[in-house]
Amino acid sequence: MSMTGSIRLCLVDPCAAAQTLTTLIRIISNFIILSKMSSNAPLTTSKYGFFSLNQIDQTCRKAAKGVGLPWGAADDIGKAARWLSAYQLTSVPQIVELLRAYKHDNYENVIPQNLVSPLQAKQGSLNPLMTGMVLSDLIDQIIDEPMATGKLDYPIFTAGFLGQTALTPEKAVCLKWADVVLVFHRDALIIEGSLGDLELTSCDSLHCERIDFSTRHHDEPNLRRPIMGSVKVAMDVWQELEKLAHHTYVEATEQSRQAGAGAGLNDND
Amino acid sequence: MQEKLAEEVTMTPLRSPEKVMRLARMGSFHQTRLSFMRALLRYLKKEQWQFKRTEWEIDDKGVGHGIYVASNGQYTYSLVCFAHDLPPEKRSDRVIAEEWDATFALYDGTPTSEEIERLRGNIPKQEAGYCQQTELVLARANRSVRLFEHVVDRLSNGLQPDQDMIDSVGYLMRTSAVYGNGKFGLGDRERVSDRPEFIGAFRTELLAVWLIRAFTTDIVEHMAWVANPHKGVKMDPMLKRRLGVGNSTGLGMAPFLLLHPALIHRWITTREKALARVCGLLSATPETEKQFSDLVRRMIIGVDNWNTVDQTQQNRIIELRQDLLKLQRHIDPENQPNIWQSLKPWKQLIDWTDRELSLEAQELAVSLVIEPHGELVDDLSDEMGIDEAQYFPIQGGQTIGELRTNIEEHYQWALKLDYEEKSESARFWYVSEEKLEPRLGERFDEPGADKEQPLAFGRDVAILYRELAEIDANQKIAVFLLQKPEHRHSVRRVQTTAKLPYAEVQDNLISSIMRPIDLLRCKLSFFGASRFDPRSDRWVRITMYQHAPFPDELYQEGMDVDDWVYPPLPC
Repeated sequence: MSMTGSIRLCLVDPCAAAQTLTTLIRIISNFIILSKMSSNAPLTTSKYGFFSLNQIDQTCRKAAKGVGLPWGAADDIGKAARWLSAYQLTSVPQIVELLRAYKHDNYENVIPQNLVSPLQAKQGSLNPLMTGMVLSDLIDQIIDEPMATGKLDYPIFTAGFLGQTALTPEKAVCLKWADVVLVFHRDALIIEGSLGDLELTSCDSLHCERIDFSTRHHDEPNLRRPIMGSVKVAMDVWQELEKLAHHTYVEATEQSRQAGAGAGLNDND
Repeated sequence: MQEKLAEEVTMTPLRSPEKVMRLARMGSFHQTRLSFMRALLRYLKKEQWQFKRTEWEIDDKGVGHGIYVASNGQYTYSLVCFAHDLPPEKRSDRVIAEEWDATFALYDGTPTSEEIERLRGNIPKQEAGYCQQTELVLARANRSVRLFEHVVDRLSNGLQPDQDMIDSVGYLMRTSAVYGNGKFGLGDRERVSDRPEFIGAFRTELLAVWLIRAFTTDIVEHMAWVANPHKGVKMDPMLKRRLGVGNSTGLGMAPFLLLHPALIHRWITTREKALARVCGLLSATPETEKQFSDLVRRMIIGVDNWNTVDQTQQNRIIELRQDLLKLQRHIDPENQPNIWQSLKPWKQLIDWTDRELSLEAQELAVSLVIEPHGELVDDLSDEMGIDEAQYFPIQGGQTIGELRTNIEEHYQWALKLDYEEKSESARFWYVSEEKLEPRLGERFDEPGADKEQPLAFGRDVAILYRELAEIDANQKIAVFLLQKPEHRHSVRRVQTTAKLPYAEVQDNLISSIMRPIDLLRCKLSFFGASRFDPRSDRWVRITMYQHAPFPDELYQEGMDVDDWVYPPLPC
């Protein structure tokens, strides 16, 4: 794919986002020594790298576990990150930022307190990761009855979780917050309204309901299909993601090298 | 025609998940005619794919590159091979190796000379290099030094290599990793998943391996010619065909098998369906009866050439040989009663193997009875893929009571175990920071269990079940998971297994007696591998494509694209 084509993948300007994040990292980084990291990132001197959707899925999954979320939730987060990237809805810097902000101690306060619409946090805003998972878990219910939320951070992320569900053109959903509407099923997406609101870091409410996608035209100008290609990510952001993922790896020891992989016999014949 | 045949036959019931999904049995699987390599070659020939070596720029030291192209007119794939001069002390099959005798990329299309240079700068570095979406597969291989040198020596002196030596090793080079599906920046599976040649599973990787095999024999002939341009000869094609591609596989394959439950369900049920179709046949034709009898004889020869340094496997091979002789006697039409005269003879035969033979022989018998029935089962080869995503979402509307019932129906084997016993929790799966190699640790002797990978499904489901006992049976799962997100992976697993009962391995994957190579062998058998040679309980060498036609032989007169797995009978 061409370089020009790839630049369009990020809604948020990757340079600006990367700079903001870099500053943040400088302040609060826990200084995991980079040289100890086993990197999957391409060796490149450029500021950007290209990553497959599978890499985004797997690295975000591990990063989510790395910040303290359970494996099952990490699985959903990896898939959501992949879906969002495939539809060019969000960029990896936002995912990193959201994961870094996750505090296990605060979990009880940022999840929906019950499943009654509108979903509300105990204190402050709902976390979009956990709220996205709840909406995805309740998709069958949402198909019958709309569901809303109260104050919610990064509303765009909820789309990533709903995108995992078995939605079809006949059984699609629409998500509304501020002045933007997302209409989608697993394989197609239409964005209506204010594109700028996709990037909101918080909204007062979000509304989710069933919609029939099959009546929409296939040639609508704002129709999106998932990309088939790699995603451009600033290398320092990717390294930050890998740093979080690194928390899931076990330190290398000679015992581990020999016994853990079981290669005790000569493999050089 | 095939569909009609399949409809006409009455399938016997599939063997149960409780019987099939046990590690000991899965670790006894053999390739079948549905295995991916075989299905791929059948497809390539049927669709008239063409193959060509388009570039060969390799110097006297064996350093340079070669390109092999596969094309059907619509799509073209180029295996770009880089040959290296590797110092012997650097030759290692471990994932942690950093240099290899040869490195490869399967490129989607025809690379320009600029692209080849880009690949030359990256592919030899493997994981540390930079791949793009146009690269579908990344692989590397090392020589079997003793066979490679023997063949170079013989050919350069105008002689053919020793057949016994070829048979005892089976390959000139063995791959130590074959990556695909978006790893390290490679093209995502979605890029090619709707192309008919890659329907099913792992066909992209196995196309690369088949072309790598051609490279291994070309490079050995090149080195012999370089050593002695006046006397050097090419290898006898019949001898050459006895060479496959070796592969060294470590624990990396095991997590894949465990983390793709829907896919595994599909692979296993497809194989079981093929067996059930054959077992449903009311009688055997004289042709299939003869073919089967020949296959048993040929397999005896195959077993004689199956060498391993692993004592456990060696004992199993010895027992297998005895079992094959027993089977040979059992199917003799002179016997009274004659099994071929019975109703549903294939079913009778499989039932007999269950009673009389070792697990290794029982599962070989499954492959052997399926083998003569291509028309009846080959359509199943295209059913090896599945849309895994549709099984991923959690049904949060399910009640706790329903989930408990699912667990009781599908996880009795896990609920019976006492995980407080050290032996039942002895191991933990982890990923090492060293090149992200998956490994297995001893929980009570090694650090790292706090970073355990979520692969102990039996234990985790048992813990979930205990916790559910305290919860109102009418409560929705979504509410429970909001409060207890640590059970999310187990709930997803149970819901998947309830829909796809062959998705779960019904053994404790962290027990002290678990043998990881059983998982590896199961997966490799679906690939179509043979000659399993365990190097430890978590490391196995295999051979791929041994006796298969080479790309330039596919359309040779008399070449049966499907009759290569079992060694030929002596003339």
